[in-house]
Amino acid sequence: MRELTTLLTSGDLDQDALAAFVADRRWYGSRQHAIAQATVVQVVPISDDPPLAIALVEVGFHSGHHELYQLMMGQRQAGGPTETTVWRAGDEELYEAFDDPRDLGVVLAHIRASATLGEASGVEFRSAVGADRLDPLPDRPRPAGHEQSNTSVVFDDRMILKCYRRLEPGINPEVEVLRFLAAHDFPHTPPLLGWFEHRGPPLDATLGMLQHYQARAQDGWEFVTAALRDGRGDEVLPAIERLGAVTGLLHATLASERTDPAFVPEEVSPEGLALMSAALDELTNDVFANLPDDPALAPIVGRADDIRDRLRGVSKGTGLGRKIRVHGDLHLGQALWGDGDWHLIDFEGEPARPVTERRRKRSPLRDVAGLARSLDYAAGAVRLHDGVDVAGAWLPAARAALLDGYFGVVEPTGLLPPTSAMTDEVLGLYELEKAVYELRYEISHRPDWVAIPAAAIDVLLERTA
Amino acid sequence: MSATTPGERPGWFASQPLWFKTAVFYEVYVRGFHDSDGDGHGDLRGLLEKLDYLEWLGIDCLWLLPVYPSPMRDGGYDIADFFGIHPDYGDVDDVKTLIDSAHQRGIRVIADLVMNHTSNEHPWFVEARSSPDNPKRDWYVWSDTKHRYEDVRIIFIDTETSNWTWDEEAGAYYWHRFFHHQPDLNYDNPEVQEAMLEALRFWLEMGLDGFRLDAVPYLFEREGTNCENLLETHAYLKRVRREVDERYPDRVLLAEANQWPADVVHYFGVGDECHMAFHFPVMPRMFMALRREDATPIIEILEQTPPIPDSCQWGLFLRNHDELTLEMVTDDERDYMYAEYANDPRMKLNLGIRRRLAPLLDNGRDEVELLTAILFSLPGSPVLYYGDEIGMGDNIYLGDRDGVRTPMHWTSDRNGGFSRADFAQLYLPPLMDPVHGFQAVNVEAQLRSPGSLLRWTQRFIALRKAHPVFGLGSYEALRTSNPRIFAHVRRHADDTILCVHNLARSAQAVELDLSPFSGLTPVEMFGGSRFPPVGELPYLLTLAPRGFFWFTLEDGDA
Repeated sequence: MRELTTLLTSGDLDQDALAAFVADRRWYGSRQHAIAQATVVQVVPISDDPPLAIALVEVGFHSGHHELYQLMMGQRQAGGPTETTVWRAGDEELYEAFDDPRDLGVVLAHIRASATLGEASGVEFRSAVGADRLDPLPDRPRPAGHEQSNTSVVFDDRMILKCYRRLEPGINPEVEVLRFLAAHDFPHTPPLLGWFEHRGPPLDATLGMLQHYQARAQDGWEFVTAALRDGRGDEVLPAIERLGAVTGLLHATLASERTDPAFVPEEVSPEGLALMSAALDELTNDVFANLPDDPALAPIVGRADDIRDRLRGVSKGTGLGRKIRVHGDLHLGQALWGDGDWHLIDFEGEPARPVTERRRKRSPLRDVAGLARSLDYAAGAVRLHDGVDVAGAWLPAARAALLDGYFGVVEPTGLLPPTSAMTDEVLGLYELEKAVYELRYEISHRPDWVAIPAAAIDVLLERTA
Repeated sequence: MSATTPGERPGWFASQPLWFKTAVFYEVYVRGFHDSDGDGHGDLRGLLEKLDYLEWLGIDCLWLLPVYPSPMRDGGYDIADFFGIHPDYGDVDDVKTLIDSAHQRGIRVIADLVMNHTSNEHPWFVEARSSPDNPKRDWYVWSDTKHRYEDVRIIFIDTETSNWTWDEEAGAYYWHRFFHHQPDLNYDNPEVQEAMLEALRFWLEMGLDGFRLDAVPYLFEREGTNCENLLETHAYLKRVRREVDERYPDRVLLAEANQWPADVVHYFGVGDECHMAFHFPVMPRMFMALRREDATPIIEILEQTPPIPDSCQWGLFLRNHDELTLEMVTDDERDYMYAEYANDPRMKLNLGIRRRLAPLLDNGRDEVELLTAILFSLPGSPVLYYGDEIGMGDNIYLGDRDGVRTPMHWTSDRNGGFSRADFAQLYLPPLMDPVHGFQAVNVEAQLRSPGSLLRWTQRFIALRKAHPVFGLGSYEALRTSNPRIFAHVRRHADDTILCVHNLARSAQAVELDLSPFSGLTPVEMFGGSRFPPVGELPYLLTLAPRGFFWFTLEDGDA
């Protein structure tokens, strides 16, 4: 077989095959744009035997802009299954090794050794913990499954290696936040074990990270919906209150920084609330202008003005509180329940948003709104799929438990708006905003689910501050 | 990589070399925007505090007016140090913080750079004038006699009587195309060329996304010429471009060259000089067209505008920090503009009219929307002037161009929310009359009012940005039988857009020859309504007074 690096850099690699491979991946984010060309712009060999190399692929579009993606290229004899084949040339082929991770153990070895590969530009692997925490290195990798914008590989159900696919310059917020939380002894995330990043041309960017894998944990969505299905909704209320408290602890920790400008809390400008209202006003206009004919939407048909009135009714003096680094994509699926407590995962922020936006500070109440909406969706899902209706009694109790847990921890921190009435109002606005976005999403993507945000908007409008 | 620093390396916007072609720019007078420390002038930290507002508004790039150390005898365009920041505005660290925070919001930042001249208080000039043997002597343009470069026009005709001024200490005349306290640098001196490049590099290294190059036509002088647009000037600008391209990808050089289009296009070179240049001549013609209720001035100047390289872009604007310049119109047209727009002689300055957009249009909401629509529909990148998005007024009783540089109106509170300082401390008084005063016209009130000019502008910017065709596409004027209608077609890839504007105060009907688009359906862009498909016959449209329609032309049936 020809040497892998040579193959990747010689110009022999069929660019059309590469472009087709990328366009077909779940993690490829720009389906709406036709790829003009896909080129390998950087190759960093990380293993000779078996041959593996990190390849940075620049995908160019006809409008002139580019995106950069990470592939882990391996080389093998052709003839086997082809789902992970990037390009076949004769009796050998290049394949994507994050998708077929049998040889990926070398990445763990590099992380353990805090290795640096390459000179002027290359990849730095870094361990976040002592070697004793990593040894013995697990050696049975399997794809994690349910991938979206990134690719994860689980090793021996002990460690999970996450590879970021779309690369943007700068540190990935997930690694940035996990490092911060570890430095501040925050216990409610699976420990960060290490990361790897590219340095030098074409860009400095985080490539991936290694984290402890909680094998016996169940994600919050499964945990809550299972209970609801079995009619045990009340049994999980204490756990939901605990989730609120853990979220509060997360925010208190993130807000505790006094010097690092990336984490120090910031004031919101006086027109912050007005800007948010104006944006929500426009969104409401857009969504309600084109409501489809669906009986599930009956509670909100023609009620755009009610939403606008509600926005206008928010007192001018209402403060939004302070802005801090937040989780950014918090919902029940991002909280693992195991060993009697919660661990939060996936600190990358809102998928599909640029890295710069995902590293911005926001009101912590946005994360809380995310959890509240998620509880609503859990109730909605069991109603839709299992015919179990808990909206009446359980849902308000669950939201109240969440908020009790949260405010109990966060109130003394000075993060929130000056009065609890203002806090309720602002939280309500964030929930309303989220529900309108959900409505727009469900109308186009999952019409069966529109009843959930529609009902939520109805409830949020009825609720007085 | 440190966990604490955002992506600092070059190319952090991940390679979008033509970003400026579809960008909406916002010109901000830092002194007048927002005061963070209560000393009565706006500052960089104040601007930082308002980035959320600018992000919401949807602008892509900030253009900062000069914030360098300066004796402030020309609004900061008299620079006394190219590597510092005037203490009124903050310091160099504030600039870095501003750039990083703007970048975090997806907003780029360019800054004014005056290449042609410095303040006479700049240490370079202080040295140069001190003795004929001083090493910096040749950094400026000296003469024993005023009778050199005699055919060169005077630009600030209201205040200067000559381009030469006698300097007692130097024992010689020095050359200045602008105020006498702004001596021109001598670009025939390689040290000057290198010094200016150093200044550019200093700010680019910090992450600045480019410069508006002030007064570039005047860099070099040659006997027997008008000392404008000389080959040597272009050669130097090409050198600047090479330097910038080599180490700082994706930056923009925006030339301020108030010249006829045939002369301005040379500032693009063959794509090897400036990336952008302002289209000065079309600006007064938009105002002329409005008063005359006739699209001809706009159509003709665009017809006379030569094509530009694909990698270049025009900067288009309605108003800016200077007077509405009438240099690039005929004498008759200038008289017409003065008669229509400057009924009070106080409004005239140099060869222009020093008024803001809303007062020029008698605060007419329809007129403001119409001109904004025309601006946004033309091939180029629009440059908005701070405050025009809320329809700010002006104060013609202030000196020079201060009338259009008053404090931004944020709220109806004290000082318009611009500053916590005492009213008496403010660098200029805010507008307080019943029509344009800050109680009536301010960001806070307009944010809450969905029908306000501010909310309309934000929606309009979003609409324009949703269609790259406005920045990237071709432009063809449609000749119509009704001269009051300005109609044109923009095309790029699969996007075809028809823009129809009514310049008259009365409702108008027009029949457009849309035969090349026969079979397509016009879809109105604001509301999404489908109009009758284009047939073989001329397409009839009726427009409200000062009304306009923008359509996408689409396949298929309703």
